[in-house]
Order: sequence, then C-alpha cells, then structure tokens
Amino acid sequence: MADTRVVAANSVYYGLKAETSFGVALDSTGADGTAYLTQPVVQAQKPVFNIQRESRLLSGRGSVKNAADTITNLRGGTVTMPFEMLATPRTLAQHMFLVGQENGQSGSIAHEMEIDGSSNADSIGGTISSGIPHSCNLAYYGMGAAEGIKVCGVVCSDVTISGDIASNNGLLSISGNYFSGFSNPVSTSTALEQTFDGTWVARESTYFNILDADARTLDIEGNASQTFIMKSFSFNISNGINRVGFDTNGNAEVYVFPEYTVTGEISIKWDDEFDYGAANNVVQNFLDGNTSSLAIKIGDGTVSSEGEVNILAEIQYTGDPGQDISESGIFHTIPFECVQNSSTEAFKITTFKNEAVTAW
Amino acid sequence: MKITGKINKIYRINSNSVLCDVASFDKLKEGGTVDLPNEAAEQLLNMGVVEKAKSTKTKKELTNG
Repeated sequence: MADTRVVAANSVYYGLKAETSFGVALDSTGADGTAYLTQPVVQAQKPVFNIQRESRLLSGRGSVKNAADTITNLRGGTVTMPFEMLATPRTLAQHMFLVGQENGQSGSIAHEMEIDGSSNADSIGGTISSGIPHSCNLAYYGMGAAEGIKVCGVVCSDVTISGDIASNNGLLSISGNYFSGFSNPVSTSTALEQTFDGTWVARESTYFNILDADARTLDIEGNASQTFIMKSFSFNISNGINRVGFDTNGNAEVYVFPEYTVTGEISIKWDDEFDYGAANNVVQNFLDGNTSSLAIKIGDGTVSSEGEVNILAEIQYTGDPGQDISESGIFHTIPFECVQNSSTEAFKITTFKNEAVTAW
Repeated sequence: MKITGKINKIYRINSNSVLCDVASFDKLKEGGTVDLPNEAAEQLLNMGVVEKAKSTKTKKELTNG
C-alpha cells in the first residue's frame, strides 16, 4: 500500500543564522541544535542545487546514452533559493546586510546599509568578525527528522523592497534570492538528511506600513524635496555575486561582488509639484538627466522604534515617465536607477532593530 | 517597571505578540503609564514603543516639633 503521508504546503519552514566562519556549519555534531531565526514566509521554497552534469552519447554506444557515460560533479556549483515575505524589523535589516554586505549601527539600535561605491564589500571569504561580513547557515525543515537541508555560505544575490498601497494591505515586502557557493554536501558544511533540534527564534510580528510614510520627497528639476503623493515604489538591489575558487571539497573559497546596482520604480501623483509645466516637469527632468534625491520615511523619521524605516536614494530616471491612469487620477510611473552623486550615497536604508548583528 | 506608551509608535505593535496584558496594552496605546513585570516592560522598551516612566517623587514635608 502506498504511503499516506502528506506534507502540507505550509508545514515546511526555514531559518537563518549568521556564520562565524565562512561556509562552515554552526553545528555539525549530528542533529543541529542551532537556534535559527525563523523567516516569516507563507511558503518556503526548496533550495536548488545547481551542479554540473555531463552526459554524452559516446561513439559505439548505439542510439541511446549509456549510464556509464554520465558525470555528476558536485564541485564548483551553487545553491539558490527564492524568497518572498512581508518585511519585519530583523528580516529587513538582515537581508539588506546580506545583499549589501555593509552595516552601520548607531544608538540602540538603528541599522544602516548604504551603497556608495566604497563601503560595500568587493569580496568575502576571509575572517568573520562580529557578524561582518555576513553569511548564514540556512536550514530548510519541517517535513520530518533527518529530512532537512542545511546550506552554508548563504548570502543574497538580489533583494527587492516593494511597497504598494493596493497590495499586502500597504505593508512593505521583500523578495529575492539566496545564493551559496557550497554545493557539495559534506559533514561540516552544506548537508542533506539533516535533523534540526534547536529551539528556533520565533517570527517577528511587527511590519512596515507604507501608509505610515509621513515624509515622501523627491527633487524635480531645480526644486528640491518636493512632497509627492505615492501609490507604490520598489527598489531592486543586486550585487552580481560570483563564487570563486575551490576548497578541498570543491566549495567556494571567495565570493566576489563586482557591481552593486540599485534600480526601481515609483508611482507618484500628477499634481502641481510633479507635472509637465515649467520647473516641475517630469519629462524635462528625464531629458536633462537630472539626478534627484528621493526620500521615503516610514515613521517620524527618527528610526527609533520597530516598524520605522528611512530610505534615501539618489535617482536618475532611466526612461520617460509613463502614466498609470485610473479612477484615482493620473500617476507618473518613473523608472530609475540609483547613482552615487559626489558624497551622496546611491542608496541608503536605515531601520530599527534593537539587536546587534551578532544576534542574527 | 513603570513605562509610558509612545502614542505615535506603539500602534504598530501586535498586542497578541507581546508579553504585556491586553488591559495594560490598551492603556499604553493611549499614552498612559502602567506598571509591568520587568520582562514585559523590557520587551516593549526594546521595540522602542514605550519609555520608562518619569519618576514623580514627592518631597516629604518637614514637620516641626
């Protein structure tokens, strides 16, 4: 008789925990007792092992490939895994760190990640000190003992931050992809058939509501910090990660981040501050190649409590602003990329979570 | 520990996810001051949505004779 076990879609979950040595399992003594930080996803996607497989129809084998003529190479591969979740204070701060490889802390505790052409790591793979640089063990679990998957050396290759008043009840969401260059399962790193028996840290339950975005300003032509009425926005941050080198197990020795790019789109209302007239002309702003400071602050701007975030970006339009026409009126949809402008960061995000990076 | 709610911040917190009891939480949401067990108060302080209540010490009146 066939087995009747069913694995419900939401019974599987995953967690992250910062590594203390690049690509090394935090607990490799059998069952993993690490206190992973449970991630607030609706459905956890499975890690995908991207390894190399060679399969050739050799001469003299007839008209079908022979089983002896295939090669599976676990060395030199990658592991990737997509994710999507509502942003919470810790997940937002940590995922910004995982994609930007930069973290500044102030007070108790505002976490800042900026992309400015010099602060972000060009490569990681050496010593980790107090959680910096930041890579994680990822535990995929929930289906049963000894069925878990542990992936080491996990960072984010890209993260998208999205806010839309018409979706997710206006709550900020993050999505993207995890990346690891540790594709060869070994006892001290990435592992299959893993049991996780630690006490995992519960999901957070505080979110970011873009309807709390009290400060929303954008430069337009010569006018600085014009206030806009927003429908939606998104930022996509990508670091172009490559795995480099091979350790004794064929796993990565270094990750290289050749270029950090931040692109996005914002939808703002056509009104007297953003129109097609003199001095406030969104089309002219595009044609002139102006760089404009964009600020979106959820909360009072102080970033002193959970659920508050400041996003500052130096944007340049990448296309003629389109139109979003609805019963709410006409909105400009402005595609942009973030650029470093003298000392002004291309992108900077500050969020509050009263935890040191070492707690992640 | 006595804490006072920050009206413009505490509304973002899900009352079901904190150690504070519902009645006290409601009072904090209105900006009031409550006396909570240390663990519950520390949790909200860490979230940045309350502050320690300012102590209001009363001076003892000197009595002559």
